[in-house]
Amino acid sequence: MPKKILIIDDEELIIKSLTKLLEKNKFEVFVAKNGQDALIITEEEDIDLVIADIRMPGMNGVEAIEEMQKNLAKRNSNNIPVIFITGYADEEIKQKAKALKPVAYIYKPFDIDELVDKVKAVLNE
Amino acid sequence: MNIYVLASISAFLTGLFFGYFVYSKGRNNAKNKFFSIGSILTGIWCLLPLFLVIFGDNKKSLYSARVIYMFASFVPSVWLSFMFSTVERRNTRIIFSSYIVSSLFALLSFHPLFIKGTIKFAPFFCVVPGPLYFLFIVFFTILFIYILINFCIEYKVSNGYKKHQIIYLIWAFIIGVLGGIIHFLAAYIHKEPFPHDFVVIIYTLIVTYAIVKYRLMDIAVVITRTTIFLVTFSLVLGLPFLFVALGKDWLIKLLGQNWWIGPLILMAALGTSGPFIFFYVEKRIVSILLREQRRYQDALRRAAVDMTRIRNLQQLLDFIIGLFNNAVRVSHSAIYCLDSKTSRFTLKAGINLKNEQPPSIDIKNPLINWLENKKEPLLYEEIRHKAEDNPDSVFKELKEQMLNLNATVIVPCILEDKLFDILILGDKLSGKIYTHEDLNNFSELGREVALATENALLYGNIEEEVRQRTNQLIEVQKQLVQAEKLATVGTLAGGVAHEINNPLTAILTNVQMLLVDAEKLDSDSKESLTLIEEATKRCRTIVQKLMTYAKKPLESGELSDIDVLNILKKVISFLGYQLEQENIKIITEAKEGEYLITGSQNELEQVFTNIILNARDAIKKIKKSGVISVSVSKNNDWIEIKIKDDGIGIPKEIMPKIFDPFFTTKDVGKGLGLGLSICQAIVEKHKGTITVESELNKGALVTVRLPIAKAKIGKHPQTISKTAG
Repeated sequence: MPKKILIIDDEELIIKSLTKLLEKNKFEVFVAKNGQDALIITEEEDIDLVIADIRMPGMNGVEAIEEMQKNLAKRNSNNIPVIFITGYADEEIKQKAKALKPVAYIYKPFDIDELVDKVKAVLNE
Repeated sequence: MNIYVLASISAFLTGLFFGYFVYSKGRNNAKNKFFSIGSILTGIWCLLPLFLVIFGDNKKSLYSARVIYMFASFVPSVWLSFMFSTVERRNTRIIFSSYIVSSLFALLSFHPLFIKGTIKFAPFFCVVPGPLYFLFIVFFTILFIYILINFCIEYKVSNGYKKHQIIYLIWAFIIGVLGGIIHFLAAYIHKEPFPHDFVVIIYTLIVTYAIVKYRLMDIAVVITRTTIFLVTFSLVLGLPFLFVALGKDWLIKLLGQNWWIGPLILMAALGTSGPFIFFYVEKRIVSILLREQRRYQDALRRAAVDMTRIRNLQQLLDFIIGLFNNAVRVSHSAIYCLDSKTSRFTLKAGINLKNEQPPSIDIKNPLINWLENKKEPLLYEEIRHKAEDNPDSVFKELKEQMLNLNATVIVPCILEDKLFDILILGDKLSGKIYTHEDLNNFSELGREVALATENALLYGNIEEEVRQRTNQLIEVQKQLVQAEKLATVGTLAGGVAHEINNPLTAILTNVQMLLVDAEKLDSDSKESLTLIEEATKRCRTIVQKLMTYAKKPLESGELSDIDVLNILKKVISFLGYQLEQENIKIITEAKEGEYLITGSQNELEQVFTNIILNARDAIKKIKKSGVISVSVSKNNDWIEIKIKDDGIGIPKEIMPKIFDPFFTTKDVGKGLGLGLSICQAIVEKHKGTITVESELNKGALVTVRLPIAKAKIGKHPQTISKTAG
C-alpha cells in the first residue's frame, strides 16, 4: 500500500508539480486547495503525511493544521506529521507554525531531493 | 586777620601738604624728593607776611625774616635740581654752583647788606632790602629763566605724556616767576596789589598735578575753561561795580537815597544768570576751540549706535578697529575677543600690527585680572611711572604685558562685570597724549563695544544653533527617507518573494524531476535542463537576498555571542584565494583579545564579504593590484571594524545614494545594487552603524561599529600584548 500524502496549497503550479514528484516516488497524493477541503480529506482518509503551504486565502495553512490536529485529538486518532513549505512568511505566523511541531519547515523553491528525502524519512521508507 | 596773612598760611600749608603728598607717592623718585623739599621751602618763604604781622615792627620780626630768607636762599637751587631730575639730565657744575650761591645768601641773610630791616605799611609788612638783596633777585631770576629754558628744550624733544607734563610745568614756573616778581617788587615799591602767596598756591598745585597725575587733562581745555570762567565771572561781578563807578550820580538823581537798589538788582540778576552764561559761553567756545577733540568724540558716539546693529562678530570687530583708527588716528590698533572655548582672548582684528603682536592672551594673565577688577582703561605711561615708583608692585608685570602687546592704551570692554574684549591702541599719530577725557570716552565706549559684542555673540550662537539643528533635521530626514525606502522595498520584497517563489518552485521541481531521468535524454536536452536549473537557482538566490533585505528582526535562535575577529578571519580565508588570484593583498590588524558581540554569524559574514568584495571591485577599476586593510579595535562600548581600500573611491555626488536599494555603479548584470543596503540593514539590526568615507581615486574606508556584547563589557580587560596579522 502506498503511503497517503495530503498536499494543501492554493497554487496550481505547486499542486501539479508536487503531485507529479510524489507520485513518481510511489506515494498516493491527495490535494486540498484550501483549509476546509483539507479537514474533510483528513477525516475521510487515513493520511500519513501532510505537506502544507502557509500563505493561502481564507483559512491559512497554519490554521488548517491547527483545526486538523484538534479534530484528530477529538477522535483520538494518531497525529499526522506535517511538513510546512513556504515562500515567505512573517515572523508571527512562522512562530505559530513552529508551535505545531512540524517535522520540517522548508523554504520554496527547494531542491526535490531535500523534500523527497524528508518525506521518505518521515514515512520510514 | 588780613588777606595777606590768610594767603601766607594757605601757601605754607599747601606747600607742606603737597610736599609730603608727592614724596609719599614716589619715595625713591628724585623728582618727587626735590619737589617735596622745594615746595616746603617755598611754603616757609610764604610765611614771611605772617611772622611780620605777628611780631609787629620790631627786632623779632627782623630776626624771623632773616631765618625765613635763610631757607628761601635755597629755593632757586632746589627747583633747579627738580628741573634736572624731571628732564632726566644733569649738569653737576651748575647745580653745585647754584648751591654755593644759595649757601652764601643763606649766610648773608643775617647781615644788613642783604636784609636791612622790616617795614609796615598797613595792612602789609615787608623786608627792607639791603644792597645785596638785588643780587638775590638776579640769582632767582636767572635760575628760573634757566629752568624755563630747559623745560622748553625738553618740551621740543619729548613726546606723548612727557611733553604734556612739561607744558604743565612751564605754565607753573611762569606763574611761579610771576609770584616771585610781585614779592620782590613789593620790597621796593611798598605795594602789593595782590597777595602773591595765592600765586604760589596755584604754582604748587599745578606742579603737583603734573607730577602725580598720569592722565593729564588736555592743557588747551584747562586754559580755555579757566579763561572762560574768569572772563565770565569778571563780567558778571564787575559790571555792577562798573555801573556804580560810572553812573552813581545818575542813579542818585534817579532813585535818591535808595540808589544802591539799581546795582543790587543788576548784581542779583547777573549772579543768577552767571552760571548759565558761563555754561553757554563755555560750550560755544569749547566747541570752536576744541573742534578736533569734539570731532572724534562725536564720531565715536555716533558709531556706538551703529555698532549694536552689526550681527556678525568679525564684521563688528573690524568695524570697531576701523572706527578707532579713523576717529582717534592711532599708529596701530587691535582687538582681542574672549573665546570661551579656549579661555583665551584671541586677536580678532587689527590695523598696522607688527608681526610679533601676540595672537592671544591667557585669561589668567595679570593684565586681564587687573582690567576685570579695575574696569578702567590702562595707560602705558601711567603704568610705567607707577612701576618705577613702586618697583615690587604688580605694575611692573602690567608694564611688561603692555609692552608685549604694543599697547599705549588698553581699553577693557566690560558689561555686567564680564570682560568681553580688550582694545589695544598705539600712539596717536598727532603725537598728542591720551588725555583724561580720552580715557573717559574710551571707558564709555568700551561698554558699548562689550554690548555689541555680546549681541553679536548671542546672534552667532543662535545662528550656530539653528545651523546645527537644521543639519540634525536634515540628517534625521535623510535617515527617515532611507528607512522609508528600506521599509517600502522590504514590503515589496516580501510580496515579490512569495509570488516568484511559487513559479520558481514549479520550475525547479520539474527540471529536477526531468534531470532525475536524464539518461533517457540526449545530451543537448540534458544541458538545457541543467541551464534552466542553474538559472532558477540564481533566481532563488536573488529572491533570498531580497528577503534578507525585508528587514525582519533578528530571531533569538540566530543570536549568539560571537567574536568579530573570528568572523573576519573566516571571511578573509574564504575570500583569500580569490583575492590572491587577482593580486589583491589583504592585511588584517587587530590587537589580541576578544571582540565579542551579540548577533548572527551568518549575517555578519554576509556584511564583511560584501564590503571586501566591493573593495576588490573598486581596486580593480583603476589598477591591477592593490591592498585592502582590515582593522578591528575597541572603542568604549563599541567594536569598530574598518575596511579600507586604495581603489577608485566614491564620487561625492553619489555618496548620499550608496545605501539606496538597487543603486549600483557596477555594469549591468554584475550587481543588483543591494549589497550595501543589505549590509546597512543587517548592521542596523545589530544596533550598529555603518559609515563610508571616500575620496575619488584615493580609495574608500568603510567603518562598521557594533555594540560590544553586554555581559562582556568591562569583564575582560583588553590585552595589548601583540599584534595579530
